Amino acid sequence: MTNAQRLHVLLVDDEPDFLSVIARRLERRECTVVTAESGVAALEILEKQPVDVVILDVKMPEMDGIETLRRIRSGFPETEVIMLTGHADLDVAISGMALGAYDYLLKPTDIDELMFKVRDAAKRQ
Amino acid sequence: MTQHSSSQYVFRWLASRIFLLCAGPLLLLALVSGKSLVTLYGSDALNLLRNNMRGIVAQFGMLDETHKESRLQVLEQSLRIQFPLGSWTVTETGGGHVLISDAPAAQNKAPQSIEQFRFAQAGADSAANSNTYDATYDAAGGTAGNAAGWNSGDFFASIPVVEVVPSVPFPDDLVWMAVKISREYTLTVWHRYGALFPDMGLAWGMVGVVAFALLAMGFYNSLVFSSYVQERFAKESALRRKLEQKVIEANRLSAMSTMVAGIAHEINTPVSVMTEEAGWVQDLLADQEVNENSEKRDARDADIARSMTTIRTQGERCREITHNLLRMARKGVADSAPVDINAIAEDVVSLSRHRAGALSVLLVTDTQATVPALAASAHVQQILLNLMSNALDALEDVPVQDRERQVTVRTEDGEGVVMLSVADTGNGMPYAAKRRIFEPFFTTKPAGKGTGLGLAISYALARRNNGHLSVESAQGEGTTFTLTLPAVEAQPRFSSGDENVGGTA
Repeated sequence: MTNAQRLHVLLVDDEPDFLSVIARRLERRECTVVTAESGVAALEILEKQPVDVVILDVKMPEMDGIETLRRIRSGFPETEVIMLTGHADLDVAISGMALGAYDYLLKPTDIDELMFKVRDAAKRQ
Repeated sequence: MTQHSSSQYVFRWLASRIFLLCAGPLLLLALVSGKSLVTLYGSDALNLLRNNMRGIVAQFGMLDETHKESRLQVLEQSLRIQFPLGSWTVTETGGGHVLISDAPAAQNKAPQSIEQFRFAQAGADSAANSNTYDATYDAAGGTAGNAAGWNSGDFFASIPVVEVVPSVPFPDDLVWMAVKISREYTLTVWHRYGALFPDMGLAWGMVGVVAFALLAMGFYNSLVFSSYVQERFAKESALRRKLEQKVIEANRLSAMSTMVAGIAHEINTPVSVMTEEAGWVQDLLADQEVNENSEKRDARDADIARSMTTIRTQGERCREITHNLLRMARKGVADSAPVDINAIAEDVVSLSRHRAGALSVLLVTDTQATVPALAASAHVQQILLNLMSNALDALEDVPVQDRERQVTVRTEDGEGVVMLSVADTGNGMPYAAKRRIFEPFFTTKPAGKGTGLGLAISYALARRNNGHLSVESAQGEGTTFTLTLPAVEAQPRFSSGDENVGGTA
């Protein structure tokens, strides 16, 4: 069963505190979590190791979430992307859906809901 | 009720306007017709005088030429009878006065009379020479007692009388008439016009009364008209001020809401972290097996403690943001007062930090002003928010590799003024854009992004605070907006420098 396998998740956000706590909580829910603090770092990690699901913050300096999403979809079409966003960037998240993101979630998010979406995304893969 | 009185008022205004339009032509008509009436009656009176003079000529021609002395005596007698109210003189050709009236008062009265006298005489001379008068005169007057020629009406009417008559007849003006009564004598008569036409004063008086009535009505109506216009202007300017206030308010709200959206996002991040950390603690506490193992419990407690520290740090971050917001809200005074522009600059900069961070813009604050400005703090805040938002917009298009994205907010003292400038390292703008930058609805931003009102309103607000907003821009280097405000004069800084340093630290 795929459930027995640990899911490989890449978490991308520019806020280190947020990264660490989400990573900890996902680890506890049978995920292997890799973190990246920017879009560029995320793409580098994807080059090195395959990942099931990417959880991506929309608002980041330098390369923003949408640009990162576009590159992930073109470079790694197998990987599913879930977007994380604040209320102000809801439009961006919806346009992200058009670019092929699996789903989006509003910050602050419920960890179980996030976990549920991650599993769904992994299943679709 | 107000509706009724206002419609009545509008009618009165309309009536006064129509009257004012007609008053000019009416007045002109009154004066012209009055003048021509008086002239008409006056010329009737002149006719009488003219005929009297011709009578003198006829009578003189009939006198015996040989008795010079008695002839002149008779002439004098008849002149006295014919012109009892006027003055007259008989002059010899090429010589002096032969006869002169007893009452030369009229002559003294008019300083120009000598000139007119000469003119009349010369006229009489040339008229007498230039027609058949001489011949007829000789024929008729040569034979004493032969009145046949004189009795002919044609001849009588053809005796040339030269007149000097004022073009506009007034009672005190003099009327001059000259006629050649024989080869050697010329008779000149001058008369007050009023004496010829006794009711002339009354006629002019009537004209004056009509003209005065028209003028008075014109004055009254122009008062009505101008008060109406003034009221309309006042109403209109009040309306405009209200509208302007609305536009300013709308801009303030939009500037604030852009900022608040940024701040909400700013708060969202720490709140997310805090929620997740709390969830993590719950996760840890839910672990049943840990409770039995003291070693694992210690590790868990350490984990929880770490989470708590993060929660505290993030909570403090939220508090700082809300404090900033509260401080901004408290500063919304719209009356002129001494205002510390350094504090406002720092507040706006710290509230813009989130957006600046998202655009990787470096914010630099350089507060050198030592004197407070005299302005409404709410307005200064609004202007600065607009300028800051514009500066950040300008930097959005600048490639990070090309230039460092930086916004410098600087305050400094000037001569009697305090200056606050916002400089960005954006692309700058061409001269054409710079010239129009403060025009309402002028925008360089894509459709739907800017209203084109931010800078127009900022400019209006600066002017309202007796200040000025200017722009300097070099293409490819950046744009600097400078707000100049009057400084509070001869007054020490209300808050000392140390407090300011404490605020920034």
